[in-house]
Amino acid sequence: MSRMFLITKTMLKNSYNFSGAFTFGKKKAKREEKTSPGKRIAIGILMAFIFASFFFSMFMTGWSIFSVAHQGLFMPEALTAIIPILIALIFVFTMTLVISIFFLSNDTNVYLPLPIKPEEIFFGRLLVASIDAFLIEIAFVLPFIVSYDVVVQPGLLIYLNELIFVLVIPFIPLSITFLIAIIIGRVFNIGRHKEAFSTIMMIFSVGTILVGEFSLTAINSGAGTGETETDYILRTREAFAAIAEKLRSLDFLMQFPRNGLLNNSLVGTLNMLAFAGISAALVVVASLAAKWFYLKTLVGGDEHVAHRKKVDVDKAMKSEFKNDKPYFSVLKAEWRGIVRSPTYVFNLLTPPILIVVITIFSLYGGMSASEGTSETFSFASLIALIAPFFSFNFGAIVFFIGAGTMFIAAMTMISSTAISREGKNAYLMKTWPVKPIVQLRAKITIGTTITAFLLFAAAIIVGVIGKLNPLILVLIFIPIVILLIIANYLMILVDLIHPFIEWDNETAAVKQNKNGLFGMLLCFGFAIVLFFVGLGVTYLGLNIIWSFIILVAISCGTLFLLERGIKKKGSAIFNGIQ
Amino acid sequence: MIKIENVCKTYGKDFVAVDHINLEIKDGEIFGFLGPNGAGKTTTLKMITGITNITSGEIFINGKSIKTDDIAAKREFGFVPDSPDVLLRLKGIEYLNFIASIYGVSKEAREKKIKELAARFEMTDALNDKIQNYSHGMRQKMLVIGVLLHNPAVWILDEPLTGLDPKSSFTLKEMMREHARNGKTVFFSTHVLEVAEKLCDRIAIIDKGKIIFVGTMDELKKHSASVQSLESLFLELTDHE
Repeated sequence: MSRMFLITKTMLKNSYNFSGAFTFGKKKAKREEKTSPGKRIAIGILMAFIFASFFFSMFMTGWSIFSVAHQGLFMPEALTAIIPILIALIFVFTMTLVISIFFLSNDTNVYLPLPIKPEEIFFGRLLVASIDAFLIEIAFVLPFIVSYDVVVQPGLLIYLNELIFVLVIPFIPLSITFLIAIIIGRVFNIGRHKEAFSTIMMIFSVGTILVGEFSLTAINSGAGTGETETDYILRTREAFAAIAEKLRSLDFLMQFPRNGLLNNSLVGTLNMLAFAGISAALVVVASLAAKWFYLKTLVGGDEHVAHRKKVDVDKAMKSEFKNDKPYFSVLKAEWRGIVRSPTYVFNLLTPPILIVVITIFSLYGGMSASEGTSETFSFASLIALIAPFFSFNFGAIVFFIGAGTMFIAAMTMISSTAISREGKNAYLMKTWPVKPIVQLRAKITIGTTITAFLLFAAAIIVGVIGKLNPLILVLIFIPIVILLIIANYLMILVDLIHPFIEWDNETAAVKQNKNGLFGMLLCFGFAIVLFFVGLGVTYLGLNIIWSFIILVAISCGTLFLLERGIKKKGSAIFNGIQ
Repeated sequence: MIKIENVCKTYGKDFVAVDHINLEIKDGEIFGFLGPNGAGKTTTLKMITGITNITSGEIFINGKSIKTDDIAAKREFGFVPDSPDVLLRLKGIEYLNFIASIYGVSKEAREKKIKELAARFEMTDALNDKIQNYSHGMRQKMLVIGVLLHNPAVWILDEPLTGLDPKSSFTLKEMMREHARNGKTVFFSTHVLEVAEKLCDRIAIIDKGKIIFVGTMDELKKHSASVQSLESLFLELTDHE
């Protein structure tokens, strides 16, 4: 047991996410010396605000569902639907986590030559993964539990049952994912095919999120404008009953937590304990699988075979020499670095693509709702609804689309990680005989181009729906591209000042990069400003032409000043990279 | 003692990384493993230490099979990998305690050993720093101290002298000799021919996955009397064209 504890402790200490917790005293003191109190408070408030907003939105979702369920006396049906959804959410959000912690951790090769049993590595990894899973649970499950308590005020034993529920939940998805991965690992080595495997997991996660979003839209699709409260309760009850019916096959498992959350007696607690028992049994099965198969799936994860063929150097060099100016060389290196890491691409592109697709789904759902039933919805009706808004508030579109542009730019984070992505060798950039501005230009070209491409696709959809003149779309894209360049410059500057170069893999370079968040917030700020100008044009009668001209002028001026500032600073711009 | 019996490592159907190699490294012997880049040195070492699967054949460490009795076999050796970037977020002292606990080194023994080895490698003042703040050579030294802590019967070292300063390099070489004098085994890979010449009792040269020479340095020199230097001899043996 002490060995297991030691291995877990070592894994935790070596894990980036938790290293801060173990070096709290000295490191924190050092950090605090550098950061001013005002800045610390501002960052703290900002982080608390982001978390509180998310928690509140989840709480409100739970609260609205449970209020209706409580009023309509269909709480069992509601819980039958919600419990598996919550487990599925943890499943989706921990899936990649399980794969990276159990099978792709960089420290695996340290443990393999040591006399450590595979089940010991398994339990160590399980505890590391469960801490991450608990953090995910705080964001997704806890708001639902709190909202349930606020609505139902269930009683002391149910509070105890909820505690057991919260403690037990993560181990089900973690064990199941581990077992699935072990089975897959028997067929092909996960470590050796990590890019392919991560890509499949990402596609699966995105697919599940979209299916979830589509289902929620479908539940709401019956809502009509003249609906009474009774109608609404009845319709929601029917929707949950339908979902509960679909999930009947899971009822053998779900009855235990459901009874535990409904029954404020010893019976309820016994039910919840039975659920905990099932979860524990799954962990035991997973540990047995680990004992027999885990080592076999881990061994050889870092092997790579290069089937080298004879290279026609002349031919290979020809394409390299097409554009051999420093700008194009940096551009090519940046592009290749991004596209040759599928997981990185997925991490960058998934959020904006999801936003676009989910918006279209929601729009579809909202449209069907306003038409009465989903059957009467048609694309023509969507166009009919949106087109008048576009023609009426034509000038404001520039600003609203501009705001959307900043929003999507914030999500892609390509430029906000462009320096960090270079890793520990980022300092080599300083040694190149290429002007810093040229290097930065090449890097932001990629960020700008990818985001612009996404926006262009979205703009075409909006243009078709809104029957916009293509010339107007082109006109709109002038300030958008300038704004995108500014956004990318600002993001790369934030990354230059505080690069995060001590990462284990490129995904971590993106996900664990606090500068990405700052770049993102900066872009959100721009988005809000543009949105308010759009509102000003719409409701306060601001002159459209002048607003447009001023926007373009300010954008060009800002870009000019930014470029001049960077040029003036010269190599000092790289001072943050050590 | 390390016994490698007809070991083969293949990738896919046609790529043979290690081709039916046989070696026996005896107790009390310092054995050097040489070969050009991509010859199969690290793959062989990884198979011996259980990091990579063996496609066919058997490997025994002091009579224990790494295939069928891996935990017992792993207790017999200490391994220094080619890259010293391990458990970087641990402090030096934490890493050493972790290794000592895994191998069941008692509190008193580990304390004594850590003090002694840290002093010998001039790492005492760095023990409280995180490994990620160490230089390449310091990381290498920390790994070596970790291996020496539990005094395993067999030392397996992949390029152990890379990055070490002259003094630490000298210390390690001395310790390798001392270890062999105590009747234990040292098996290490290296690119430095002079090190192999001065340190090894026997060497093996691997090229394209095949062992092309096993024997003492004198035997190697006799192999081709016309060749002037050790370097030329090595190049002649591993010449691809």
